[in-house]
Amino acid sequence: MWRRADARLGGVLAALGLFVLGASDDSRADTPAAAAPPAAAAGDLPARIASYELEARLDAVAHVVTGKGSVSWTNASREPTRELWLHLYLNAFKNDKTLFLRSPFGAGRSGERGSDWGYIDVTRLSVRELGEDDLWPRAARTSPDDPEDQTDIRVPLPSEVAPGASLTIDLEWTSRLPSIVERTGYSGDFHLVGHWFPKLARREPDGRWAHFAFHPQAEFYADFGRYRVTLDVPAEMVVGATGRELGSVREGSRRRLSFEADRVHDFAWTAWPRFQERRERIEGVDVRFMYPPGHGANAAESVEAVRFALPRFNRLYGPYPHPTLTVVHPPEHARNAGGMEYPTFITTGGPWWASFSGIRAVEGVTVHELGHQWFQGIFASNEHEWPFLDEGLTTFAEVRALDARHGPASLISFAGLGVSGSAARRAVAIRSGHDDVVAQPAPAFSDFDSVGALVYARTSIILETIANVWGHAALERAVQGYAESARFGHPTPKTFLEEIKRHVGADAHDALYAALFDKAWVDYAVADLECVEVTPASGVFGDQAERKTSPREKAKTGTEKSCRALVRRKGPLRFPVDVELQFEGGRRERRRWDGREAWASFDARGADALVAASVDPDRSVLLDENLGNNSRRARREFGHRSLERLTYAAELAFGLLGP
Amino acid sequence: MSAVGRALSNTRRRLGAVAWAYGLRLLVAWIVASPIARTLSSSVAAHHPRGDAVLFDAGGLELVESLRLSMGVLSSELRGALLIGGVLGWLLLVPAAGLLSALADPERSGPAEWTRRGVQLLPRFTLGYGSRLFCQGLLIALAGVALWLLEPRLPGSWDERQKDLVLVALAMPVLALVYALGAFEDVLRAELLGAPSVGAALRAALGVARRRSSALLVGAVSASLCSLALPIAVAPLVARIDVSRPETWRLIAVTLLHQAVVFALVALRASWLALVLELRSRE
Repeated sequence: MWRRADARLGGVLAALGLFVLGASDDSRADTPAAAAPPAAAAGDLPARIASYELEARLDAVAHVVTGKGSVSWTNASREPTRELWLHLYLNAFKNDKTLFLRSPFGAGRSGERGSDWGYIDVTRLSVRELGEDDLWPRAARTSPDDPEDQTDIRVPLPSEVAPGASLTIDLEWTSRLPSIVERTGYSGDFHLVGHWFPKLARREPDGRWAHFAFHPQAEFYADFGRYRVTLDVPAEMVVGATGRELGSVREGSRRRLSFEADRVHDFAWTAWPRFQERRERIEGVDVRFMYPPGHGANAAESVEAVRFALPRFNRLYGPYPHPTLTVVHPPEHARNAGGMEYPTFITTGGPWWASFSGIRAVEGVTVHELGHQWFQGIFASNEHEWPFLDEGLTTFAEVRALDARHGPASLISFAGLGVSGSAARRAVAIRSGHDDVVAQPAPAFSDFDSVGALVYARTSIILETIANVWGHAALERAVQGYAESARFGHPTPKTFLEEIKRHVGADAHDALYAALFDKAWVDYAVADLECVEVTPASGVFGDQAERKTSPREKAKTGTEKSCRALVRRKGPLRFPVDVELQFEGGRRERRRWDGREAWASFDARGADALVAASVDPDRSVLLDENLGNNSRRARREFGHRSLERLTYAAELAFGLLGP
Repeated sequence: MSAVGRALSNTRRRLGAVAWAYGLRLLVAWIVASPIARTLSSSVAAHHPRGDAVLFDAGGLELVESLRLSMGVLSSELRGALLIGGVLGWLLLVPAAGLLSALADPERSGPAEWTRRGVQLLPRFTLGYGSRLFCQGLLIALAGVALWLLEPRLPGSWDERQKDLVLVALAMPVLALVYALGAFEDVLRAELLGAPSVGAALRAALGVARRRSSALLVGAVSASLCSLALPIAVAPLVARIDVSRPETWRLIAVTLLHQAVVFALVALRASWLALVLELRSRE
């Protein structure tokens, strides 16, 4: 809720600032007229801060997009500005010295370098309110402090833009698409056109520009607006794009298509002559599935995934606000374009036989990218600064959705083997748990493996642990609260942590904070298990005349036993857990341990000896570093079941391959 | 009585030899599997109150954790198992030869005789087995290279699935040849029992294969299909018995079921070998 208050406060402060500026600066005729900054709009609608009207022509042979258009931008901050910052993301693929490609070891999630370069040439930039001069020659040539990168460009303005003032920026540019390295580019006649136009950075309410060079581990951040885009493509192309298609006109060998998307912060499109299509109406949304020939089974799996997940996410994270959703399954030769999210436009991926493999990969990626429609598309946190808020929470939403649909075998269901997404992600998350902090900017991670392990997997495991320990309903309420506060709100970690504190409690908040920001960890262990026969008290009792000496007696068989299980908590994280004691004869007893101290002794007296103890027997604490020490038995057990199954497997193998 | 009927009857009469061959396969498999099972169950399951039943829990949390914790040891165990498995697998030629001798022998004999015959035939069988593996490997490698070269030359208008299915279709004759080589080795083995030399056995086997190709093909494919179907048919039943639950009878039931399958597979193989002997005797 603090985010909403902050937005209102920002609006009030900005309005006051404008009043002061307006009163004192009437003489500056070249300053665009000031108005109240649109910090918040009616209902849950976001203000249109950066709206684009673009026209683009695709040369499908040269893989060049020629574009022109205008951007209506409002200075929604509390501070005036004399500059604009443009992201020219395609320049990441211009040469092997860019920030994105300069690592000799490969970078990003694909690790590939591409076979053909891509770049974006801005040929004109002018601002109507500041005269018709072309401002582009005055723009910086390279990213700040990085003379070899051209993805983050400062454009100085001839005069100041007051808070609340609006500009109309006219742009002309040419984009040469790269062979697909990651997300965007071409492969043969397939085109996935993302990050293809000069994109304004977002200006924060305090006047800071959230601009950054395109890093291979990072994603994006931008303002909401309305996009109206006209695409001119070869007539044989099947085109899918962000937003609603307004119309399509054939002009000789070309076709012009118009799209409109409101309340979005990016626009991506795809063009390929061989797409097949399937259209469904799900929860009032027109969902279009575009897939290569032969991928009908994958498309069917994606359809079922959206049918299940869209209503679920609507219920949990607020209604999907757009009339359309486009789900693109790229062909295998363009697989690195898969697994990406843009507003109302997602890409999945996988070979044609993926749906028959027993691994729910197509479903998983579909649900994951659909989840981004909320955590990236609607909430629009700064993915460069706080990647866990997008990828981590989306992974959690994905895992919970697949668990809800498929139960324990939510990731793999093959030949009697069922593996959950939690089990697989936990293994990855625990392996890298001590490597780095989860909640940090994307470029701060050592490599994309760390991003995968910490941002995606560990965030999800942290949240699952909190849900298991303090209740799924409470965490669900917290995430719902976050979704409400964050909707079109560009949330920060504070937004999320506040909702956790409010709905789950201070302990959960502290644990979450420590796990996200301090590399905190935990390992529960049963350190010792022992039983002794109880003997009558021996020694000297009483004083002087009443002094009495009782000799030490040998314990009799079958007498009462005194047993204890010594349980330890290693690491700074604290979670309340159960401890289960198992006695001779099969009796079990559960006790609660608040887990605040470093150790606890669980004592028991009785006729039955304690034969086993287990801390956190339900495995609620998925963050537990080592589940192998969570139990202890008086006598180790040999793995008869494992031996049986492995022997059978070896017998079959000898039958198949042997003599 | 048909050749198949006589082969089945012969197998029934030599169930002792089948059991002997099955027992040796079980022993070898157990030797190979034991260290891996011990390692796999030592990290999580050894101290868990439910023992290694937890490794079979739905969701695989404890199984994945066991694999994670024991990965270092397990990978070296697996390398060792491959080595031991290779050597012991080669030694399984002895029961293979012993079983074939028992099926070919009109007199009843016992394990000592089967073992003696198996050891006696081991060099010849090794040569046949090695040659078969070499030829199969060569065929697969050549086919792989050919398909790899062909793949980019397939029409660009074909979609991924069409291309893959065409490549699989083109690979099928090679796979059939690889399979036929395996079946032919059994015919050769039958000839090796009594032939004066490997060359003579090879010539005789080629003659039998040429003249009795249909019957051999039907017999081999039938036995192979049954061998494939049996484990698949039993798998759902094993899943229903669910050894993740604590009752000991579940483990016993699954063990019996699995071993019944393996015994049946050895019996099926014996029936196939008996059919080869039967067809050969009609020459």
